[in-house]
Amino acid sequence: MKKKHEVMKYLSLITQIGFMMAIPIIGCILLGSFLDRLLNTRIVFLVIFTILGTLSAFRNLFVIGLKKVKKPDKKEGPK
Amino acid sequence: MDFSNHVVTTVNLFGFELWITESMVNSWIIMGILVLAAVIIRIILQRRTLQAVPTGLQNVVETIVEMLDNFTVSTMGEKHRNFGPFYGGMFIYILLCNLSGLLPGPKYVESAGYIQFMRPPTADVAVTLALALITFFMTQGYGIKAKGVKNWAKGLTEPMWPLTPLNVIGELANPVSLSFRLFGNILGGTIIMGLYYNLPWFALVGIPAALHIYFDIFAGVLQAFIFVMLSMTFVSSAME
Repeated sequence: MKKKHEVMKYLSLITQIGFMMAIPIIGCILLGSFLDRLLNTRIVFLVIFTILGTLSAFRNLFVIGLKKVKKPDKKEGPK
Repeated sequence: MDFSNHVVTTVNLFGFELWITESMVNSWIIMGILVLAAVIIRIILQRRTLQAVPTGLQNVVETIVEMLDNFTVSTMGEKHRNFGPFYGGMFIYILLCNLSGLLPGPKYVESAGYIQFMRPPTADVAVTLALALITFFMTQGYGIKAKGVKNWAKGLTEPMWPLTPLNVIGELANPVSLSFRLFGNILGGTIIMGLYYNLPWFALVGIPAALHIYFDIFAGVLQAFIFVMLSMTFVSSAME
């Protein structure tokens, strides 16, 4: 039963990857464009936030990947 | 065809205009059903002597509670068993919201002379975002409680401090992605069903039943399960 739930847990996380990559990029583009219009700064913030959003999307991917990797038991020595 | 979330009435509260929307009313109906069911079950079980080997209603209720508890324990671990009632409640509420698209709703279309299907409250981004924000604040709150403010703040600067904005954006993206997923799936189903019901009569024989099974039952149960599962994963990993 626990194994079945584990499979479902990782399946849920995998299906979440798309959203977790798209949302930071779209959100940052919108925020950058809003700040540019607010401060009359052509595309400065748009560029900065697009880069930040893309990097953040990769960070999210990395974090999801970390959830799958189990931490090694400290008591066990290297094999 | 109109798939928007209608304003039923407006209430003036301390000079502010408060909109009572269709999804709020439907949400209250679902909450009412859940509270009523809980009270009735409680009264029935209180009148009987609870048995060690349960039968009848006690058996059904114990099975449901045990199933929800096991679901929490297998996802979050034995030490977080106390989250069971909360996530169990959340799961049942989202499940009922998603399945409510199958029920004839409180809305009566006078011009057409029929009762419309209920608009699922989860087809409104305000409802799903509120649910996702609960998860977000729980993730941050329990993270602070488990690690302390200093370690929690330090966690945002890992693995090195220039990456702090990325971590902050990543954390803020969680509730948005969680809410958009549930909202998009349920609204998508609602729109497709609404479009299908506008086809000529011969297309409406039998096929809508199969579409309801997929869009309301299958997608509804799956999305409720995934929402709660992800919510539990985020909270438990924040406490590790």
